[in-house]
Order: sequence, then C-alpha cells, then structure tokens
Amino acid sequence: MAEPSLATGRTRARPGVWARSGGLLRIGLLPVAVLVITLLLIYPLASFLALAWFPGLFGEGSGGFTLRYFAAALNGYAAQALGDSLLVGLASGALATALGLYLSWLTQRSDLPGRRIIDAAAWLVLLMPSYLLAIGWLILLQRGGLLNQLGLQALWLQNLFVGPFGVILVLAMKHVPFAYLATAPSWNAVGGELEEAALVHGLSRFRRSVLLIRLLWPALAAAFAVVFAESLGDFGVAATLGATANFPLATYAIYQALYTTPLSFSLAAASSWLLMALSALAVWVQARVGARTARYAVLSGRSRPPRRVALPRYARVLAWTTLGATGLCALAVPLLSTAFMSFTRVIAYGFSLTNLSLHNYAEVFAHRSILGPLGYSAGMACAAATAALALGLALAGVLSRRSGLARGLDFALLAAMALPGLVLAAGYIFAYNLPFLPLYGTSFLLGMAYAGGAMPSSSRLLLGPLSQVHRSLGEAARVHGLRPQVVLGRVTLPILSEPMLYAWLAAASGVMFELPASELLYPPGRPPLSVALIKFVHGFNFGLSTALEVVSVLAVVLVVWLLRALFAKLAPAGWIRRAV
Amino acid sequence: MKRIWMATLLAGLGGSLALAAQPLIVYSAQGYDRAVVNAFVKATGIPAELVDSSTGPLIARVEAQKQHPQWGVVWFDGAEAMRALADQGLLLKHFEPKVQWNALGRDVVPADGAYVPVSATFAGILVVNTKVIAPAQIPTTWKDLLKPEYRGLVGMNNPAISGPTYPLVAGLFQSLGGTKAGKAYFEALKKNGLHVYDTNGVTLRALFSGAIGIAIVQSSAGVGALLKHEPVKLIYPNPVSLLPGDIGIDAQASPQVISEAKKFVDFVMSKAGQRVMQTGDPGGDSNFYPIVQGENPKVGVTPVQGIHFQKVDPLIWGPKESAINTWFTNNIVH
Repeated sequence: MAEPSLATGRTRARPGVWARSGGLLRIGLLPVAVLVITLLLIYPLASFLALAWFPGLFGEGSGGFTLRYFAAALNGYAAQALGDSLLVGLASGALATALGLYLSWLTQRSDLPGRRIIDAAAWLVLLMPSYLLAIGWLILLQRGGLLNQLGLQALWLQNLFVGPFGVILVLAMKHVPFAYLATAPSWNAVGGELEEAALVHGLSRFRRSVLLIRLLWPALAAAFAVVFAESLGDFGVAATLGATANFPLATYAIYQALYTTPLSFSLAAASSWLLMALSALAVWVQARVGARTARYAVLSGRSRPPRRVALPRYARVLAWTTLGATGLCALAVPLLSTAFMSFTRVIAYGFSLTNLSLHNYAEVFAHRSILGPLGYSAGMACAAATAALALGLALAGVLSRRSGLARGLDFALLAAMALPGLVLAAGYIFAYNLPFLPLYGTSFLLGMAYAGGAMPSSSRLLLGPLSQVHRSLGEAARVHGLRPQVVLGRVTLPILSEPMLYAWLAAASGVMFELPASELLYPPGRPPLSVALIKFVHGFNFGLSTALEVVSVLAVVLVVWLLRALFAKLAPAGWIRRAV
Repeated sequence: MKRIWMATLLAGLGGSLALAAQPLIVYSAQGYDRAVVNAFVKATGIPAELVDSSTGPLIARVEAQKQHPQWGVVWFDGAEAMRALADQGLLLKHFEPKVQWNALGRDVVPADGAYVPVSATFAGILVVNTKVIAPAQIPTTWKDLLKPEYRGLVGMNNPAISGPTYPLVAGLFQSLGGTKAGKAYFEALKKNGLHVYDTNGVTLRALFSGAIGIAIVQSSAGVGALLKHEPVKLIYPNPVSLLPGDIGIDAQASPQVISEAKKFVDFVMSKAGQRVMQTGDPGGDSNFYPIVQGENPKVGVTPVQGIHFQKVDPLIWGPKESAINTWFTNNIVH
C-alpha cells in the first residue's frame, strides 16, 4: 500500500492523456510554444538581466564585463532585503498552502453547510490587488487609523502588524486562493475508492490521512511553489506595508534601483539575479515531487466521484472559526477599511456619521475619464488571459513530462514568477524598442507583457490537475480508435475545463489591476485602469481613489460571477466533476 | 515556416508604424497634463498623445530608450533630474521661449537652455494637522522640528523616490551651510522619530489620518489639502526652496517633432496654457506660482510676498544628488 498509485494497478506510468494525445503536440505545438515563451519571457528577461554584467549593452553606463553591480547588490541593505524576502516566501508559502488545503477539503469533501461561500470568497481575494489588502490594513491599524479613531488602543497589535508578521500574513492571505485552486481539483481526483480500500484494509485514521496527503503531493508542491514565488515577486505589499514598517523586501530594493535617483538598471538586474536564485528553492521542491509525478496519476476512467465526509459538531466549529478568521484577515478588514475611506468626506475628521457621504461615488460616475481606461483594460485582459491560458496549457503539458526541456522551462517559469513585474516590463523596453523591432509603445507589446506575466501562474494552476490525468485514459481512448485530436477534445478538455476557466479568470483579473508593466509600457494616450487609479492617489484624492477601487473590484467580481454561472449552466454535465 | 510568417508580420507591423503620422508624445508627471494636452491639440491642431506617470517611471522610460527615444517632451518638477538627463545628452539645448520672466522665473531659467521652466512651487513646507498639534504648539522654523514635543510626529518623503523632495533636502543642506551641517540636521530629525514615506501622497495620507502631525511636503500639495477642507495649517519656514516645473525636449527627435515640441512649450507658457494648468488639477499641481509676467497664482495659493525662499542651483546640487540620496537612504530611511 506504500505506493499510492497501486490503486490503479500501474507503477511505471508516465502521465497521461496529454502526452498520448500526442503526435500533434510533439510535432506542431511544442516548437511554437518554445518560440512564444522565448519571445514573451526569455528574450526580454535576458536582455535586462544581461545588464548586470554588461552595463553598456544598450547605451546605458559604460564599460564591458563587470561584477561590481553584484557586489553592490550584496551590500547590507540589499542583502537584508533578500533575507527578508526568503523568510516571507517560506512563511507565507507554508501558511497559505496549509490553509488552502484545509479550505479545499472543506469545499470538496465535507458537508459543511454554506461551503460555497469559500469558493466565492477565494475568488474575491484573488481579484484584489495585494496593495489594496495592505492599504486596507494600514487604514485600520496605523497610528491614528480607524482603530484609534474608534477609541481603541492596541499598540501591541499595531506594532505586530506593521512589521514582518503583517507582511507575511497579508501575502499568505492574498495567495491562499492560489493554494486553494491548485489543491481543490485534486480532492476530486483522489477518488472515493482509494479511501474505501484504505478502510477495508483497516488503516488508522492517521495513516489514511497521511496517505491522502501523499496522493495530493503534486498539488501541494505546486501550491507551495506558486505561493512562494508569487510572494517573492510581490510588489504591492512590499511597497506599502513593507515600506511603512521599514521591512525591506527584494522587490522593493529592485524598485528603488529602477525608479529612484541614482537610477541603475545594472544594479536592479544584479538584484534580480539574486532574487531568482532564491526561487531555485521552489524549483527544487517541485523537481523532487515532479520526478515521481507518475505515482500520483490517479484520475483514470475507473475513478468514481468521491463521497463527502459528514462533519461532527466540533469539526464544524473548527471549520467556521478558521473560515471566520481567514475571511476577516483576507477580506473583511481590508475591504471594510477601504470602503469606509471611500465614504469619508474629510479624512482627518475620521469616524463619525456626519463625515460620511456618497460624494466620492458621485464623482466616480461623473468622471467619464475613468471609463475609457476601464474598457481598455477589460479588452486587454480578455486577449492577454486567452493567450496566457493557451500558452499555460501547452506549457503545463510539456512540464508534466520528464525531460531536460521541461526542467529548463520549469526553472524559467518559476524564476519569472519570482521577479517583480517591473523587471519584465523594463526588459520589454530594452528588447522591443529597437530600430528594427519598433514594438515599443503599442498595445500589442503591452498585451505581450501581460500574457508573459500571467503565463507562469496559469501553467502552475493547470499543472496540478494535468499531472493527475492517468495515461490509461488516453490508452483507453486509443484502444477505441479515437484520433489524438478527438482525445484532446473529448477526454482531456472536459477534465481540464474547470481548472482552465479558473486559470483564465485568474489571469484576466490579474491583468485588470496590473501596475508595473502598465506604467512602463502603455501606449501614449491609452492609459490602462491601474494607471488611471494611481493618478488619483498621486492627486491626493484618497476618497475618490478608494471609491474607484471599490467600484472596479465590484465590476470585476460581477463579471467573474456571471462567467462562472454561465459555465455551470452551459457546460455539459460530464465537464463538471462533483463529489456526491 | 511559422518563423518566417512571424518575421513578415513583425516587419509589416514595423513598416506601418514608421509610415503613420507621428503625434507629439508627451511624457508628464503633472496632475494637469491631460487637460493641457487636450487643450494643446484643440488650439494648434497638432496631434499629441500623453503618457502620464510618476517621475520615477518616466525617467526610467526615458533612460531605457536612450538608443531609440520614443518621446517628444518630458515634463516634471525638479531641475536636478532634468540636469541629469541633460548631462547624458538626452535633452535639446539652447531653447528658450520668447516670454517675459518674472522674478521667480529669472531664478530658475538654465543658462544653457537645456530645459524650460514653466511653473514654480516650494519644495518643502510644513503642513500641520491641527487636530494633532494644538494651534499654540505649531512649529515655525526648521530647528523647531528637533524639539522633543514633536517627537515621532514629523513625516517627509524619501528624496530618492519623490521628485520634489531632493530639492528640499539640497535646499536645507545649502541653507544650513553645507553637506556636513545638513547631514547633522537630518540625523537629529531621525533621532527625534522622523517618518520617511515614499511620496507626497503617502505622507499626506499619514498626516490626515493622524499617524503624524507635521508633514514636510510640496507647497502645491499643502494648498490642495487646505482646499479640501482638511484641518491643516501651512507654515513656510525661513527659507523654503524654489522648485521649478520643467519641460525637456528630446535631443534626438526629428526636426518635425522638435518644432512641435517647441510649439507645445509656447502653448504651455501662453495665457491659455497657464489657465488650463491652473484648472486641470485644483487639489494639487494647479496650485503653482506662475513664472511669467502678468500671471497670478490661482485663488487660495499663499501669496509669495512674505515667504522667504531661496534658489537651489542645479549645477551645484545636481551632481551631488546620487551621493546625497544614497546617504539619505542608508542613514535616514533605514
């Protein structure tokens, strides 16, 4: 029973349907995917990162090969920032993965009443830009903030939160949805018959839980790797909470090198190299699990939908307590603080009924200037998310196989994820603003940057579900004489349709609020939503900017909800795997 | 085959981009820039497109495009950063619009015409939250900020990040008698619990919410806070430093774009242009001091008479910017 995959009677399998459905992918899709990834990620990143050694490459600085920028990047401040980032990545990765696993178990395998709220809340958190969460907490907890205005003094809480603990907590909360979405489909994949077999063999509850967790290893590793890399690459929290708490993170050090005087692309590039080195940790975790990925391929044609566990009373109390605390940290506090700010007439007068007004909302709807950016970003989000999904799918297919190419791509993707969007965006300027390649300043290039930025997370979200599709499914299809294209359309696609929808929505909502690439690459005269939002902050219109944020988040939530409802209504029954 | 298609596609795209009519590309960090660009297009018929961003990202854009610039004019506050671009040969030299400067203007026009000042503010004034600091306790001088009663209550921007803040720091260094005295002053401020935030916006948010009681920010932002009915009082300690808003023109632009860029500067300096600047961002950048004769600041802006201000020479302080910002980041921020 030690081998989890014994349950399907296979031990040497490589997964799965993807590889089997086949020839098409191997011959046609693969080179195109590699080419596109090179254009979207590798070429621009390499252009930028090369500046760490050759500062004179694009007419910046002077001289040939040098190592002095690495020396500068390893001085006290930057080295401290790297250490902080590592701590934050590990801690928020562990916290978010554990929480995400528990939450996905509740929704997928328990009979907890109202469990659908979890799903909706996870989406809401995913849609929220991380800086919004951090700012919401700051509005509440900073000195003179909401808490103080309400007459509550909790200095210890303020000191605790405005520091490493707060940064870790907010990043973990922001990335719980990734862990949740990466693990949720897997609960359905570890079918009921496995648990029944374990019961029949008289295994203890503990052994059964351990076995179950081991079956979920690929999804857990994927979840941890995503959260770790995303936390390393996060800028929103680093620039708000981290900066306020004087807790430097690596992305913030890179930002300082890029956007502040003295500006140094080479220093930013050297710091980026070091940040990427940290992401090697996530690669290692993934590689360890990925090397034995076949053992976890359990979703075969014989799988039956799993059974839900009836929760006893104490477990329900525990579940609701965890949910309440998570909801409070991840959504309620930051959203309520932000919403409160948006209803405030004069900020300094703080919390009082007479100071509340709808004035800011009236202005939002009077400001027609915001509608253009909203529409532009929506269009870009749809296009870029579709591209990111297609590429992410192709990539996940390559990654789920064992090959040198897969390992190389894997590293490139995780490294790209750990870099702040700023680095990729700056790389795009160097790479595509050439006399013979004048793409800079076009919507097309911005779309490329969006797709390139979203692609790594998309492929991660799809990798878990894809790894669990057992190859026997593909073999069965071949025995029945189905051509590879048909296998793709009638076996693989239905199984992956739900994760694909998730990945698309995650990419699209991420693009809607993406700031660094938008700021550096947007075509003249066509500002995206995030650029328009930040403009109000710079104009000190805090009430107006928070009102705008509330409206934008609500609009995105509405669209996501509609799309999900449509999917549930329109998708064939077989496309949606549900526990019974 | 696919590669060939891709190459053809890219080449075609590039070709069509090169053939299309070139609008004037305006890179700007000013709050009123959208209004000014729209008015310029309307008044002159010259097509123009705006890239609005903070000063940091704008300069990063400009420097990253060094070999193949995609902008026509760049517009932000602070002569030192303009001087740095000029020193790299990125700005067109020897251009000065035909206008009558007033006293403020004469102080900030560069001798080599490498950029054009179009407005002025003061780099750092004290904005005091009267709900935190009682009226009788309000500080009036720079030295006052070192008193124990203001411990932990003073906030300012990071000069490495916020465009208008380096001139403030350089100005204080200058008025205190040099680098050594200036460093000592900021070290004393830090000992007294100085908070350093990223930009005017963040510092003001901390001020309004009561996290600090005194914010050292750009004068236009302080006036904006007053106009928004926040309970603040503005103090102009002796001296405050003059901060010009400057426009630079791309040195490598085509003659057509350079001529359009000059027309853009002329429009900004015209009566119509100055009106748009004063109405385009009433809560912030519109609260500037005009630097041409015959123009007055908009209502609500503190009259310049009675304010003791000084000029900060970018030729002296510009070259020191990197060193001072690095010192500030390492010793005051962290």
